[in-house]
Amino acid sequence: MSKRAFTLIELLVALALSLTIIGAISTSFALTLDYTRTTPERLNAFQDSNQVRRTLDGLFRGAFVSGDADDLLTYFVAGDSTGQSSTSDSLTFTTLSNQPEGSFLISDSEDFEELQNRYGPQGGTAEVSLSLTAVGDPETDDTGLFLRVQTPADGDTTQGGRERLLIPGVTAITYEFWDGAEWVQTWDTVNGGSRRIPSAVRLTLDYEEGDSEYLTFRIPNSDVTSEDPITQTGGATGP
Amino acid sequence: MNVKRTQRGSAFILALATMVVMVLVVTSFSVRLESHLKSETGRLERRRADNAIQAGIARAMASLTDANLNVLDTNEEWATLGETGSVAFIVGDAQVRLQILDTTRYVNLNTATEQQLEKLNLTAEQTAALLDWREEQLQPRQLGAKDEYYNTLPTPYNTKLRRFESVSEIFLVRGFTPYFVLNPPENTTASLISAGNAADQPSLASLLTTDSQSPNLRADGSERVNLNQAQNAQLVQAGISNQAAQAIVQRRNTQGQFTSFSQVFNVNGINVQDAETLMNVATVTAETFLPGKININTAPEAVIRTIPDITEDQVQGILSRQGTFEEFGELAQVPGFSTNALSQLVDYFTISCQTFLIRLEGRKGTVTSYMEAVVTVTNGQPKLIKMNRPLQRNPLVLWEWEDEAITDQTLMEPTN
Repeated sequence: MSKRAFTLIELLVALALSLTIIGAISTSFALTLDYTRTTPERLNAFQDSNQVRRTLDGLFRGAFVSGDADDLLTYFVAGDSTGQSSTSDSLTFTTLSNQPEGSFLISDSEDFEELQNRYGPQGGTAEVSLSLTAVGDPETDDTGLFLRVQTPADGDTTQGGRERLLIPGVTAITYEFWDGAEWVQTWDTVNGGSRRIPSAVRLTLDYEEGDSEYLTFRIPNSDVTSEDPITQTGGATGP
Repeated sequence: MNVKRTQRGSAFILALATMVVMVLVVTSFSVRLESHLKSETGRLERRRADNAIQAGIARAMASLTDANLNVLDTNEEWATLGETGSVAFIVGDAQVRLQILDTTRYVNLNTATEQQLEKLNLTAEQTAALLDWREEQLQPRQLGAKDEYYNTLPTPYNTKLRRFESVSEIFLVRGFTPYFVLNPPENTTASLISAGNAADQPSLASLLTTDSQSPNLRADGSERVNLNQAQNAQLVQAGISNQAAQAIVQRRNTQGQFTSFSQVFNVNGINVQDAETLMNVATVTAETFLPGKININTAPEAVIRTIPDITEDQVQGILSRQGTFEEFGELAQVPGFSTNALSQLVDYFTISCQTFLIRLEGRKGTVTSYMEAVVTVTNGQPKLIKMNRPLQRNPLVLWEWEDEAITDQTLMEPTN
């Protein structure tokens, strides 16, 4: 019964303690709120860019042009559609790595046409095209880098398949291809004389805002090396 | 007393509430951070696993430089490397398991004959559609399908009219569903591909390749003598008996060029010894590589059984000597292979191979990544021609690998 009231010291200590705690909590709370607000945006942007990288990496990994000179169904073509420039404004190539969808592979339907209705054509060689201008209706008003994938590749490098906006906000893109000796800006296995494909592709992306971005992809199926560059054995690479 | 107790209780509850709020704040913060970290670690681990796969491909290709392509020997380094996925090759802090298989142990989708396809439990419609898909002519078979059919699908496309480039291309051909291609056949009462239970039958996909190619050379790597061009003396010099050489030249002069070994063995006067010699030293084509032959040293039972008209005794005869054939002609020594039988079967077989399939599994932390690569070897130089993820999400059962490696080995430069 001796402690009926608080002493001044006790009161001060209690006050100091509670102030510190309240301060700590409110700071961390404010920080968390801020983090909660900004993180998803950054995280999404980061994951989007990773996703894009993985998509492209996968498609380039399977880039494939057969050795048969009369094969019009596999190609690797980057050129300027206007014919005015020595750089490329689009890249179209065939790939083996556009695998059938997972849900298609595990479907237990034994009806070919029903599967065609549900999934469309699956498997085989796909045609992949990257361009700043959509050739069809991409169902978006946004601008940027468009990816077009067509299964199966049909020999027409200019259209077909499904198109979507891969990287929004891209205003300009430079395509470069490693021919074993240097980076070149065009490539054509249809009219170029050689059916070999570059061993690496480098994309330089300019954005509406922010810095440019460089994306480099290796093509493991390419037989182009520094000892065996395309300029020595394959003839011209450009159109 | 009562009042004080209530007061003390409220202070406790207040303190508890504060702590709960703090814990919540900290938890939400750390959950966010953790999910970020997880996705980032996952990405890095995936990359490491894929890099380990690259290292595995390089290791596999190194072992193929020394492979004897003209007579496949399953005791050579390439065939035993990685011991069917039992060895984990350590690459930095990641690991890769691998297995190299010759492609001549599979049925080639591009050269398989109509009878061979029927032996694979395909229906007549499927067989016709598959042949129509890869063959140039525009007119479909009666049961087959060309553009007239494929152009009417919801997403129309054209018939390939060229060879298959991948097994997954089969899903574009009318009548081939994933269920049919990837699962063991349901109705196997008609013909069992492999001995044993219906449930143990292999899936169609596990028997197929699109890449098998064999060098058209003798066991020692020298050129084969071309029966369509060589003169009598050359044939005799190559070791063919005088009598057989004369018969061959005479048949060629009267009935034109040979298009198959089958025709050669049907020439009057060719006995089984001649057949053996011819298989070792001769060819009927100027081609350097022959696509789609089945390897007597490596092909599994199910693949050998797809060869039309092969008897049970012949299958068992090959299996009992498999891996020990040192020359192609030794097939003629197997019981059940008379000149007549050889004439029917020889064009399906080979003993050489130049394209190989590499199966790989890369691992880093919680991430596992699978890959299949096709490598072709020319003049001792391996070259990667195709690389793709397997169709199955987890292919270990199909590959017949253990879930985990038994031993590990630090990946080094191969010793020459």
